[in-house]
Amino acid sequence: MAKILVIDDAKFTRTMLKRMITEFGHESIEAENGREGLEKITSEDPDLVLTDILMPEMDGTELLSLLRETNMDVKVIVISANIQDTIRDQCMNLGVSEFFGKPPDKEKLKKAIEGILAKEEQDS
Amino acid sequence: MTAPTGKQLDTLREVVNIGIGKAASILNGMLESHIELEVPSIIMFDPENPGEELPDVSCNDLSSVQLDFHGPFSGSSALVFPSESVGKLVTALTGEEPGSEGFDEETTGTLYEVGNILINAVMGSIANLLAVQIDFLPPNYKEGKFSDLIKLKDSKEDLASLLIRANFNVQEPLISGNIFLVFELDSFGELLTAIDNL
Repeated sequence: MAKILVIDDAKFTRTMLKRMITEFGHESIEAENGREGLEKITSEDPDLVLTDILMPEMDGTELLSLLRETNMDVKVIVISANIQDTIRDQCMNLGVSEFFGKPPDKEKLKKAIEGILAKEEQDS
Repeated sequence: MTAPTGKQLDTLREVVNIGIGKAASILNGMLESHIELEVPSIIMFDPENPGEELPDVSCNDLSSVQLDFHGPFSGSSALVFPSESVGKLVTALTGEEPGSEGFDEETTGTLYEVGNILINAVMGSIANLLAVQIDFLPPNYKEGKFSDLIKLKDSKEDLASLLIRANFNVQEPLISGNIFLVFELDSFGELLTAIDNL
């Protein structure tokens, strides 16, 4: 069982993702913005992060930039309503593993999560 | 402002249609119900006095999620529901029934995120098709009459706008809604340039 951190300011989406993660057999923890997410990445050491982009206090791209600058080795999937190609490219350039438009297709998200976790285990 | 040609309006309608189709597909997945779409209409519009052009949305009991956008062209986009559809939508998505504890809070949060998802689907598809980047301000949730909901931020009171409207109907539960895109006319030339570059 992996520990997966969900960062999103919308309770509706956090609830939806938590339900999916539990169904996939993993533990879900939550944060409401990038700043709280960063604190939980440090304190909880999650195996994987699912983050939104447009959030108050600290948005997703700021969080991704900070993770990159500080060499924090955590895999990230972005799940954003903003499906513009330019946003997707920006996220991919900041090192995210996958990008999904909201709401994510459950089976595709499961496949992406399991693929990332399997690769992490193989590399460790 | 240069008046758009028939060809430009046709292309604009189709670009919006593709975006609305993307949003409908998402809503279809969320509600597991067929969504009926109407062809988008394009209207010259006075935000202060919408009654004449939009008689069916002149009631005072509407709920809306609105995102203002900026980029090569600026304006506002809104997802608008009559109040009787709001409760049905929130119940269908969350399982919470009207009158239950916390339903009002659940309503605002759910509409905020559903509006965010659907409007971004429309505007994101348009931006991708036109190969431009559009930046959004965070969503606003508002209730009230149409003229208050659709008012553009920072626009002059007397500034007319170009409004694109698409109606949709969910079959089960019966939910009706509208997606409105309001372009500030002083930036409309940039939109037409992007359309001409397609």
